[in-house]
Amino acid sequence: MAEHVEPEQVDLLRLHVELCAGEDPTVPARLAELLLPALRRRFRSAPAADPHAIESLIDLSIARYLRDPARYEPTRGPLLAFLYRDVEGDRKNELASLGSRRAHELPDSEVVDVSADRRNLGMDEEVLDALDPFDMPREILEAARSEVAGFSDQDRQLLVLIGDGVRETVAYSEVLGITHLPAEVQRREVKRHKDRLKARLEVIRGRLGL
Amino acid sequence: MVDSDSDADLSGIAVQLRDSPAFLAGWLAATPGADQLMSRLGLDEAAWHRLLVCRTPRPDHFAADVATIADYLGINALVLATVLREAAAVAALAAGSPGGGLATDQAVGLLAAARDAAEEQSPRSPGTDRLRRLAEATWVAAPIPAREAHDVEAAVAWSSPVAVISLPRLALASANAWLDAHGIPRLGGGADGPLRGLLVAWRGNGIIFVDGTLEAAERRFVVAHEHGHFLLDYLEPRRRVLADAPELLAVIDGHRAPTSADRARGALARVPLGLHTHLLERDLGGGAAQSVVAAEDEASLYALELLAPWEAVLRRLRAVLTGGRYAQLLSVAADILEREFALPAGPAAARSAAALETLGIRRSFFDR
Repeated sequence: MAEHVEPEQVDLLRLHVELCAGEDPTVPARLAELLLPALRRRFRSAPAADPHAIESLIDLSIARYLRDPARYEPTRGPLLAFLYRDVEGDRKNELASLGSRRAHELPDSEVVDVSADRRNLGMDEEVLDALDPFDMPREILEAARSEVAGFSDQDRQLLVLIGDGVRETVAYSEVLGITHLPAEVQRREVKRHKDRLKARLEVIRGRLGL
Repeated sequence: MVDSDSDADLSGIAVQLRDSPAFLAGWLAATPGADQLMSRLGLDEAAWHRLLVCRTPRPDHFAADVATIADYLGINALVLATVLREAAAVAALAAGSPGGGLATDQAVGLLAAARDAAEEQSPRSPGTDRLRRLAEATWVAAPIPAREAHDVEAAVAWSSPVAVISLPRLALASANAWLDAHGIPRLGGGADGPLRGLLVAWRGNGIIFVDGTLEAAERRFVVAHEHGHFLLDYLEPRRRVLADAPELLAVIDGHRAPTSADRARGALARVPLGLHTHLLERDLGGGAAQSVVAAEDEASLYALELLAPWEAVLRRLRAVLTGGRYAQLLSVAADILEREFALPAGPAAARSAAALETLGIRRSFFDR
């Protein structure tokens, strides 16, 4: 454990690159072990609505980053600074929300849900499904296929399914190895991977000038 | 404000990742009693939470990813692989079948294959290239130590989404008791006599129950035989569905009922929607139906290929069978297969007979 040792920026950057590559399954845990104590130390004296709320905000911020590491752009500053700003933003929102609640004399029992993503995921998914964001021109998919070296075997299998216009979630779940999970969880995870691949295809499209 | 003793406690992050199957926290979230896995893995709470924050092993890199995680946590990789396979199978089966229970004669896409305790004739055939490729792939997926130890149960766990569960005095009732204890609907149908092995497969995952009282050679053969059923009667057709008619997987996994259009597509794609094979049933005369016999033979041939690869058997016997009467040669060959390939007596005799025939050693007029 690196409990009282400040993590080196170069180590964090290397792990960030590995996290984005998605090859080593232990990288998220190893990163979390470095980030968590460092962030907790930084927020030790910060005022918070609840003594434990700041810990939850730190957990939430790290989890958010681990789920979607592309949110962090290394050229804009150190990873710890990025996460500090993320937690700080949440903390200020929480304090503002608390102040606003008190101003409106809302009952004390009402709890601010700081852990939930405030977006209406269900509605978002329905809209995206209706728009079918993967109904892309075939040449984009072909160009993507020509860059197979950059994709993992799993991503290539997913791209084949997308290219073939397969819409059934279970087909993608089979490739992802999550057929044992409840249907709703499968649907959410498949959508996340499709979104990720869509973003990657967009980058390729930009690179190829399509 | 923050307790420094718990500064590296990842439990809060693990909780946040419970809705994300890309991490083991989310991947295990649907497994009833997943917390009990912590003690099976010999992990303390801190290490358990580190495990939960690890990425889920990729299906096509399962062995390598599990080995990496086990190394990180300082635990046995095979134990971790076994636990993860079991967790996935339990989660899949706990999700239930279309009827709410695992009634094998109704559920679409559920395979339940049983090997009862009656003596069965092993097929006297060399098998096919397809079976050889499958058996080879099973061993290749296992790490070198498992291969060198000819550890069939390890090879099964490493190579495919299957858990092997040993139960004393295996029967449908004891298997159902295990399923009950894990929050899984009970299996319906079938007589409740003693069983040597039982395979249950659903939503891409399988559990092989094996009678824990069997001798080592018999146990290996039963596990290999049930694994053959999983690959040949469940996974291969499932992969054909994925390739030819992926939209039908939702039907096969019980997420929706088949429409008439699905049935037509299934026929065109040569994909049987009634994917399960009800191997528990016997005909009124007590014998097995022809399709059951064929499935059993193929599973046994796969098991023979896994335990005593055809080419290795021929090579070994060619070197030692230099002359003599047929009955003597057959006896020597069977003895070698029992001792060196750890086959049970019946399968060893069948494999030997097939090998002798291929080597051109046949019964003479005086041997009859």
